[in-house]
Amino acid sequence: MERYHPGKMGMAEGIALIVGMSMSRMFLTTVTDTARDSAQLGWLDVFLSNAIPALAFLMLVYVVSRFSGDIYDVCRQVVGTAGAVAIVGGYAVLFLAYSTITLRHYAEFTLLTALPRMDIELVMLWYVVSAGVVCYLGLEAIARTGYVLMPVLIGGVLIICFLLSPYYVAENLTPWQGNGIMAAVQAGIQGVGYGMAVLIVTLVTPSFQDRGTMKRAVLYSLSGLIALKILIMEVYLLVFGTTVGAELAVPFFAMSRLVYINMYVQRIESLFIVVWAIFGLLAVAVSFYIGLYLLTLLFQLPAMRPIIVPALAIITNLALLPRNIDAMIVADKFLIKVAAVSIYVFPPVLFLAALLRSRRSRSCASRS
Amino acid sequence: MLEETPQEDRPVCSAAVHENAAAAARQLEALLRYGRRLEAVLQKTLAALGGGSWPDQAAQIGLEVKSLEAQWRQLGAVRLAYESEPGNAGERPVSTSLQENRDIIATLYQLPINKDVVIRLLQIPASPPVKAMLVFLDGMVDKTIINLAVLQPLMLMGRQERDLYGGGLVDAVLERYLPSGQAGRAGGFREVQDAVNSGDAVLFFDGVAEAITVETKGFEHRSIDRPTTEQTVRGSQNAFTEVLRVNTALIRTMFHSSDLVTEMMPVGRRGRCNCALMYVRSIANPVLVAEVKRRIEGIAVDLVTDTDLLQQYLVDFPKHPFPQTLSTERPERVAVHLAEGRVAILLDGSPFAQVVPVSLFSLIHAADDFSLGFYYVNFLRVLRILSGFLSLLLPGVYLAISTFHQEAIPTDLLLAITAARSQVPFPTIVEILLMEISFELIREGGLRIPGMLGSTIGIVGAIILGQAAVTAKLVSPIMVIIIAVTGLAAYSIPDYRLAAALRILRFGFVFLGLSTGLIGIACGLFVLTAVLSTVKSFGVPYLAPVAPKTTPAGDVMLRNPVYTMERRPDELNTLDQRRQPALSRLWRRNDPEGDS
Repeated sequence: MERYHPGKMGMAEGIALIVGMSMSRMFLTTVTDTARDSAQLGWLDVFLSNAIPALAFLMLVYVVSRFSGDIYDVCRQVVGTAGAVAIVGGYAVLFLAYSTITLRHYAEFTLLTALPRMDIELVMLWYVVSAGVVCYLGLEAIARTGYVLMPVLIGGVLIICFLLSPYYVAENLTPWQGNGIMAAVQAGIQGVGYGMAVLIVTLVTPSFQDRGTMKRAVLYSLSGLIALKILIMEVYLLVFGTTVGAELAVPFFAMSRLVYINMYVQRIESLFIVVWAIFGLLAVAVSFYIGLYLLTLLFQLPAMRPIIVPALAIITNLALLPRNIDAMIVADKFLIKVAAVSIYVFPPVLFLAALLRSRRSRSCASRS
Repeated sequence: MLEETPQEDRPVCSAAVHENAAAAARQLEALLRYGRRLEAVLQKTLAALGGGSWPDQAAQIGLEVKSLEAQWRQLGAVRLAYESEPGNAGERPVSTSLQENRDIIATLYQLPINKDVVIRLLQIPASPPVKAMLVFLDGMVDKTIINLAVLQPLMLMGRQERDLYGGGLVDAVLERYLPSGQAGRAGGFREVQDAVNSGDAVLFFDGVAEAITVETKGFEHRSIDRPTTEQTVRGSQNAFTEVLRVNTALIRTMFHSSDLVTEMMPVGRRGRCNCALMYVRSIANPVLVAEVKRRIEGIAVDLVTDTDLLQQYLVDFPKHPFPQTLSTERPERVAVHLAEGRVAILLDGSPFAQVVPVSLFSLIHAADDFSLGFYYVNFLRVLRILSGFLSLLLPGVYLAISTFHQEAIPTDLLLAITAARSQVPFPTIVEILLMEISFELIREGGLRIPGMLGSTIGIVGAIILGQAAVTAKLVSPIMVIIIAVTGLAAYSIPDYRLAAALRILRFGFVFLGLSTGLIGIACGLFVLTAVLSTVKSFGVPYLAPVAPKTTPAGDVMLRNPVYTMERRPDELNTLDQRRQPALSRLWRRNDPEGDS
């Protein structure tokens, strides 16, 4: 078991895992959905959907800091074996489903934007093989890869935002209430599934140096993520406005396609394929690894590597199940709704149970 | 060419072989029986001493010891036979019999077939005279030293002595008769062989179970020259040679410190070669030093002739294309790395030192980075990083863009490329492979053609071949430019092995670009970064201090001004983390001379 949670990762690795998994959504239809649901208050929607999971994280940190062992051991001590199976199994399914949907999403987007004549199976094969190789190398490798590539990737996003400045229309941000505050709050509360990545560090607790490292990683990554996502959201609205913005299927690609500085700096969208493709690969690798790791814990398997290839084959086949891109987007929205369970149900249950157990053990100790 | 004796010509008799094996087994059993008895007696003695029953059992134990002594004498013939086995000769101790020592030397060096070994018998004219024997390898020693510093003192001055044996012969000879800087004792033939093979002379004396090794090395070697593979504009212009001691001395001329340790250890089971391990005791992590020693001592190989060969036995990931040691021929570069807490490995006969551990970033540093101002150094560093990416990715990205993402090319350029390509009858991948392979052929051919002709033919070949290929419409002009820029970029990477690794991987990226365009390139970069993040050089992560993130020492991708580089690389866990105080330019505290 020690082999896949070595306990050497620090804050940088934690940031890379969270940002790597979470940022990928900004290249998909999330921005369009936010523009449609919350309009000019998209920033509030983004803020809430990323900030609320932080509360769930704090609850989980409380739990894992009071009980020793990996997440399965902790859950077993807190809610018993049946509860642990339900919670860890639930998280495993959610992360694997996330990786499946992300895989299909990115494959579809690749066809739409970069390789229109390619078979989707071939594109998925590339993604799956790359993500599989990296997963085979371990969590540290995934995290460090993310950390090394992150500045370049984020730099690419910022460059696009900057190059679009001639197209900013300040009026697009008005009326500032958008579709109404309540609509934005509601969308933010419903979209917490997007922020599931924050919980990663608590799910792989033994891989981190200490609780402080985990907290710092979440603090830094959430601050950065919220700022970056809001920036992208606002630039998107500044450029496209809410009416056009609510219709675009590939928002980031559309943004990069719009860049025109002069006859030499134009049509640069292809060059940024590398940026979003790597973000997609990171998201697939991280979510797949975490899901598989939780399954390994659940079934008490002695090693994880042997099941990587069969699991990859299964998620590839599952990813091919939606009939077309529309069916895939419906499945994605359903997943995000279901993923809210990972924020609203599991952490509070664990937190309350842990609290009760702590109080009970304290009262027993004082009586004795 | 040596030919093996045909099997049928050998007088092999299987019955005789079985009989010999049975006899050997019986002899070994006899020795084992003796060993077991000895062990039993020792345990019994121990028990008697510990249990307080010694006075009662002393007599009985005494009898058993006498019996053991008798058995030992009886086993004398067996022992002699065992020790006289040709295979064991190298492990035997030096005998008191000069003749026996001579026989062992003859066995070890296949005398008289082997003509390199010289055995010189002499007599030290003391009273009584002492018979001695000097052994050395012809060509490896300086005969002037042999004549003037070994033979002459022994043969002429010994006549003043009376009874050399009485006062400890070896001590007397070492102290009074050998005017050599390095002379030592050898108790066994392993040490004797090591000394003779490395060019020393060994002196045996009749009646003494010890020999003296005298340093008489005098083989021909190349003198110190300018570096050939790490040429620089600034900085030291000395390069290592093939002589280990010259190389260690060159490092010492750069690093005058009593803390600088040079440990010697032999490498190679048959061709034992001296390997030097250099480190600064007060800086280098002792765990790192111990690990390097453990790995060097743990190499079971016949012969190691070069440090680049040696490092393949030492590194953590030998199948990985990226170099995990820093190979350098410059003493001052080694000295700088030693001061940072690294360990240098040198080998007799190799003009390259290996410095460990290293990170990927150390390999983009050039030797004169230490001598140039930091603005210019950083400009060069950025250029080298760009070169690395160009060398790795340019053909692959060009192929990806021209095949899948033509919209990324500005319209005018796209039209120019299309016009140039319209008459080329091959797809882009064939063009790339044609040019890449031609370039590699020119490079390899230029290296192998002797002397000045090589580089001339390389340049002329490249120009003529490129021009002819374009004229013949085999490749487009843009492709010649792409491949030429890629080749130039590869040459501007300071580490030859890193450039070679990037050259190999470039072909992989070409095929990735061919398969799925920039998506393939993205997948390749993602996997390559992940693989690099798992590599370690002697336990230190290859991408440190970036991944894992540690405190940078001010010289990673870019280089800070020297006076701000206060700490040593964090990832090396050195004993002393601080390289210089926060204020290293102490003169700034004081007023300038002349100011009142």
